[in-house]
Amino acid sequence: MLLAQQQSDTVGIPVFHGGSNGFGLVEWCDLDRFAAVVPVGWFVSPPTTPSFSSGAAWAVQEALKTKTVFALTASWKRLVLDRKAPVDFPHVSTIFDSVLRLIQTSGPGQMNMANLDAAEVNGELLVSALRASFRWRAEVIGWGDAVSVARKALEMANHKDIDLCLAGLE
Amino acid sequence: MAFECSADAKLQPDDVALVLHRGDIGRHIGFAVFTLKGTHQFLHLAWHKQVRLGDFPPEKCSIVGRLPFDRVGLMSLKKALWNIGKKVSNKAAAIEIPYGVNIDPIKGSFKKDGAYHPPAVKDGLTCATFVSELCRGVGLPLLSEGSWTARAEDADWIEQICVMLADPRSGADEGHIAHVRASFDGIRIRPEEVAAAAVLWKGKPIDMGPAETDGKALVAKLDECCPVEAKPVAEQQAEQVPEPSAEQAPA
Repeated sequence: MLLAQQQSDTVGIPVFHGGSNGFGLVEWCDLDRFAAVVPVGWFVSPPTTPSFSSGAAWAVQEALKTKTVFALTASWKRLVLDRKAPVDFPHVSTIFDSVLRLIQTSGPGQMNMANLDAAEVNGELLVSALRASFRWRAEVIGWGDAVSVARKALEMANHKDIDLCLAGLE
Repeated sequence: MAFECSADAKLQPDDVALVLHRGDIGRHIGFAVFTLKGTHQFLHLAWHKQVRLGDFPPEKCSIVGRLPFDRVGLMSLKKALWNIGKKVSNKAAAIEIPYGVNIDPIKGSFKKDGAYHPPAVKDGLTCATFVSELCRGVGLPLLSEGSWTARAEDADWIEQICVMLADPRSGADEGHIAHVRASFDGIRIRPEEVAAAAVLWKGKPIDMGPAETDGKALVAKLDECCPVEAKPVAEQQAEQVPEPSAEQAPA
């Protein structure tokens, strides 16, 4: 089993190294390096039998899922929280792709739109995230509140037609 | 937002529009969307399991009307259409949409990645509900489907649809055809009514009454832009029983 020597600044996982009667060593493994070298077969479902290798593989898998959620969330939120970001097709497209991948890989319950501050968000790009996740609005955390935040953000930005921008969402 | 003859239209890259032309039965509708080709293309449900991405204006004479959404709504819809267009270009099986006429089960058919996830029963979409469902998918429903009621003339329409589906070239299996026939409850959303809903839309979905009235006006506009040429009687009689066309699915 591959071991690394340093604790990762991002998502780190403990890697157990040992024999049949116990684990002899716990080290921190850099997730990216581990993912790069570990064979595909390591990524298995939660272990059905107690075994250190399959347990660790499951831990890796779960950690990778966490990292995926983190990365995709960062991708759409970074744009929504940039009030100066241009509201153009490339940005809307990036938000759509990030939101879709997040929902497809991790489920709509992993998309968190709660606790957004209207003073910090780009209203129109938040609307694009709302439209991207529209079908799953009942399961996305904070979706309804995010619509209210979008309205406030659009008001603060003196948007010309807020009702049209939010049509179908309220 | 008004419809104009497609031949005269000057669509801008940010425009997403609806295109209406004559089909084998009634009219046919689809989207005009700007693509990576650097021009607008015609994306539509041509027939059973045939989503097509072709040239705009389409070969058949048509009228076109820009959708009245705001810029974020248009870009959201454009992205959803791009995702479908990409799958069509890759001949992905995920975009094989069956032809189906029962309106209620189809809601929520499209996921944002463009993949079609059919409802539990063997239903599908028409060209009209393909358009309405895609708009609904980005939170911009054009129609209030619950307001649609049955019309006697659509009883003939469903019979013609089943005849066309039964043609081996359509690829529809007997189970699907039987389900289409059995599931039809007399309620049909016509392509011109979806187009009319887009004209009337001001933020809320449109009921059947205004859509039906304005739909007839759009058919008149289509006739004005695309006059029907009188055909010899023998040719008219030969066209009594339409054969399935790969290009213009009835809707």
